[in-house]
Amino acid sequence: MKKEQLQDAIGQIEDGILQEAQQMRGNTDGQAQEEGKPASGQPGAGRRTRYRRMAWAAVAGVAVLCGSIYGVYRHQKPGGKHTQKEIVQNNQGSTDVSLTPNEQYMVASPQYPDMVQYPDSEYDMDEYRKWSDSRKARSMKSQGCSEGFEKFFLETADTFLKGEKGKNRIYSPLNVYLASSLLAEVSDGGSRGQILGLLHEDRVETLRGKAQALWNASYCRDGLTTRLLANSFWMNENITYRQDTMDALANDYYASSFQGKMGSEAYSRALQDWVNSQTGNLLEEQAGQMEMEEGTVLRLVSTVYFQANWKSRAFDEKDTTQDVFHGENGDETCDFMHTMLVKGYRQGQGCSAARLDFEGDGGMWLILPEEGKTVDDLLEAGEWGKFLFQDGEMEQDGEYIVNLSMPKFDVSSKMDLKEGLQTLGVTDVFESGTADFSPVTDENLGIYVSAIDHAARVSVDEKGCTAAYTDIVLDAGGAAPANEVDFNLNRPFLFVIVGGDGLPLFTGVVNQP
Amino acid sequence: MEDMEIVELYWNRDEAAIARTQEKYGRYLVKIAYNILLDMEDSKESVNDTYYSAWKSMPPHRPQALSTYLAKIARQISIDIFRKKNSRKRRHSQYALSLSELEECVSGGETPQQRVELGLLAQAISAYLGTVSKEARVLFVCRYFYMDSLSEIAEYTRYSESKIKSSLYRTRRNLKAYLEKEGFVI
Repeated sequence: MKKEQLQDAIGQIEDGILQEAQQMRGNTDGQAQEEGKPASGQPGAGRRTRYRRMAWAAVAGVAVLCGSIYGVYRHQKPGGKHTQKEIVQNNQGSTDVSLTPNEQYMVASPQYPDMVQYPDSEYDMDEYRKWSDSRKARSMKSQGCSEGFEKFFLETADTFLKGEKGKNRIYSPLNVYLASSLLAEVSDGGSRGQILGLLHEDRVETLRGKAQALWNASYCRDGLTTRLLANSFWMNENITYRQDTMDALANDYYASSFQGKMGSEAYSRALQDWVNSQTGNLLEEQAGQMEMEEGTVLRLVSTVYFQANWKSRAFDEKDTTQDVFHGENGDETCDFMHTMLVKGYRQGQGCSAARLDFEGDGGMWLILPEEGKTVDDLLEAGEWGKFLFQDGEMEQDGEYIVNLSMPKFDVSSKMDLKEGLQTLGVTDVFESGTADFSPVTDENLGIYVSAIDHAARVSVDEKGCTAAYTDIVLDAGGAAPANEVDFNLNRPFLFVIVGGDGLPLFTGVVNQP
Repeated sequence: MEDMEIVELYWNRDEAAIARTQEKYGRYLVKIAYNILLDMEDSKESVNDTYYSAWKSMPPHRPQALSTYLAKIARQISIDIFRKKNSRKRRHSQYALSLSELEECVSGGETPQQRVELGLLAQAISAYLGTVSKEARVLFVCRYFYMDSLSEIAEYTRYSESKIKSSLYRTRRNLKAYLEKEGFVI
């Protein structure tokens, strides 16, 4: 007997048996059979949160923003009543060697929110519902937080993504927004006013609420998605800080505060350890270069760590081929992953874009300038990011089948945000005479920001796929695309990684995969 | 519109029957065709042929379950197109993949002296599926009749892909034994 005969015969099996399976797949008219179970191949089929946990492919992204506030202090006052040195001495009599380096220097620490964990058992529906309800509740709580942040993203991304020709650039708008909010919180007067202007807010109280909502919308550690946001203040041991400010930062911004001896190896190591612990060691190289220089009054460090799996095994290792990437600095042979998509394709002015979804929520937009245009042309025009914030499905959804070819990439970049921020109107905090950081300390230390370093790394690959199946991702199911397009990222392109609420976590330019 | 009303339109030779069928089952049928053909133009062509075939076959047929009736037609037409217009891309279609999985149930050899009668074979498969658990039966039909990918089945059943693969493997292995016992030359 031939297998084709068997397959043909299966086509004639009894209706009752087919109907049983049809019920499981979902009604044929697009109505869900039961809550949370849309019909397969019907609109909405791909929008449900997946219940299972598979690691077909992975995206790991991490960004570190180092806001270094270097102080020029004219009136050193040894040991205020709230210095870490004194606290340790008062509480323990001497430094407690049983504490970790971070704990030894810590003066305030946040209480991160507990999250209902994604169930271990694939069949535990009660646990699944608890997890699902918890996600929905978090989503409801953070609704509307993107207002203001959208403008910030559109205005700043162009500024920070333009740069040296042929280099990779990565920028985490979320990270910079949250760090800027922190700066606004610890500054006052004109310094604060300029930062509020950049963030499109009038009052720091309103900003605080928005930043909290953004933090809550983005932070996730539920066993399925990992998005960790962390902020920290590193203070010179000789300044007298205001404990109420540090406590407020811990409560409102989940910021940890530390105090230690600037210039000491131990304090530098504590900073490096903190960064590594917050970023899963993905930025070990960059962290190793962070030194607490003597003379620094205060250093602000903010990190975002992100890791997610592609939804529905978007890529199969067996399909990966070697091909040429035409970079601005010349051709380069690299591994290209391939898949097909039936939704998430857009055509915009001077570019086209395709979206790959992550398991759980969020996704990655890939934006390719049209032939003859460069990424910088696109950034110059300033229109490319707007579609990210458009609600609902676009008309173009479902109209195209996209043959996506994408290089594996592991890109990192480090930049100083100071010049860009000055271009965007934030100038006072960078000048000793105008900067006002009075909420940090009552002492007149003449603190100003000398540099804001921003380092980030994003790596993308396919992995974990051992099944011998290569199929298209048919999340939109029965939608009937009319056109087939090749979307070949074989020349410099932009990407935007968005979280569950569409908030841009990272954006970057890949010039050298 | 209820299925019986649509069937009535066919019997009354009312061309609205096609429009109502398209409204209610168009996407469902395109999905079935696309799983096999991996080409949207061909899938649309297959579904159009399905409507035409339904128009020709009703009357005399009066299907009790219009959805499965149409699904069977669309599936067979799509398989026919696949066989005529095989392409490199389609090696990855769910039809090709599910076919290779079914290979282990058969020898692949010609059996001219006992030409397989599809109707009898279909009856035997139905009977066999009646002996397995509902879960195994549903997974088998989703994979080999509807030709949904493992990841899609995992989506709507909420089973892990490894569980699905394991279930399909057992069902295929036992199907082979069942058919041999029933006298089919495998």
